[in-house]
Amino acid sequence: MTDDSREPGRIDLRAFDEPADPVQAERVIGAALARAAFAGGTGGAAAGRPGRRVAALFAAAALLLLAAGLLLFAPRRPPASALVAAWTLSSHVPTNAELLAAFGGYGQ
Amino acid sequence: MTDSDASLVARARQGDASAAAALLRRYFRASYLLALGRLGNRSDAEDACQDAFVRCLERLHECREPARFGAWLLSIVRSTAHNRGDYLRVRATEPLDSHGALRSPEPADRLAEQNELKATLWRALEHLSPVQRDVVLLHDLEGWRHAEIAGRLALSEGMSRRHLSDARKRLRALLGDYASLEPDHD
Repeated sequence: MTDDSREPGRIDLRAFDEPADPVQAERVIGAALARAAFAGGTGGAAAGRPGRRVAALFAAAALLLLAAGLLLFAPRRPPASALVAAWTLSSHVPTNAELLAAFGGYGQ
Repeated sequence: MTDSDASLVARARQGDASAAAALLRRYFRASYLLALGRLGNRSDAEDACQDAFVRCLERLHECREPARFGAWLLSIVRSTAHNRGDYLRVRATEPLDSHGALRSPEPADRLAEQNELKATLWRALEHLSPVQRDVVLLHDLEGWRHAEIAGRLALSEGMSRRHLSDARKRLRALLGDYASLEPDHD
């Protein structure tokens, strides 16, 4: 005996929706496949495959290493205080451009 | 011979678009009804299905049990439709529901009558919990059996029967003599 046997029968819900419509199904499925770029392989489902994801992670890691290298080995500017001391000792009056370069803009 | 879900998933993962389309076609109707049960109109339900299918295709490699693809897809459809419903409720300028009288005056013509009947059913369905709505739509409208519903909605068969029974009682109370009775199919 089931719960259904306690209930006399099903509810007529046919008015809630039209019968299955193949055109509707194809329209929605076609649009989804196109949006996911499924056949194209340039993104979407293809991009989600593990091989592609690993390659993307490697590329991101390589970019990070490159950025870190640039930061470490970039030529360093002498501190502004050292430049000011040098100008004072040599009685040099700095130009506006030299001041901007020494202090890195208007921030300091 | 019909391909199994698992074999279609395997082919779709290799980029076979026809296999992906076959999978989505197999579960389109159930997906659409679940979305319709949460959103109440055709265009929103179609949009939710499309969004859910895109998510499914993009995450196909995350489907751990390809043999249970249907259950996995329907869970995506339900969460997508739920989120879309929340979004639409926030955007709505008027309340979506008015739980007063479920009936309205005489319809002007057949189309108006159909629309009114549909609206009446929707207002009644809104009184059910989401899972009760899923079960009653799949069982009473789509003709699924409890074993299929249980497998696809991650319920036990007993719970599926329980939800159906509760949903029917509630709908009968709300719809009165409209809820015509027919023989059950399981």
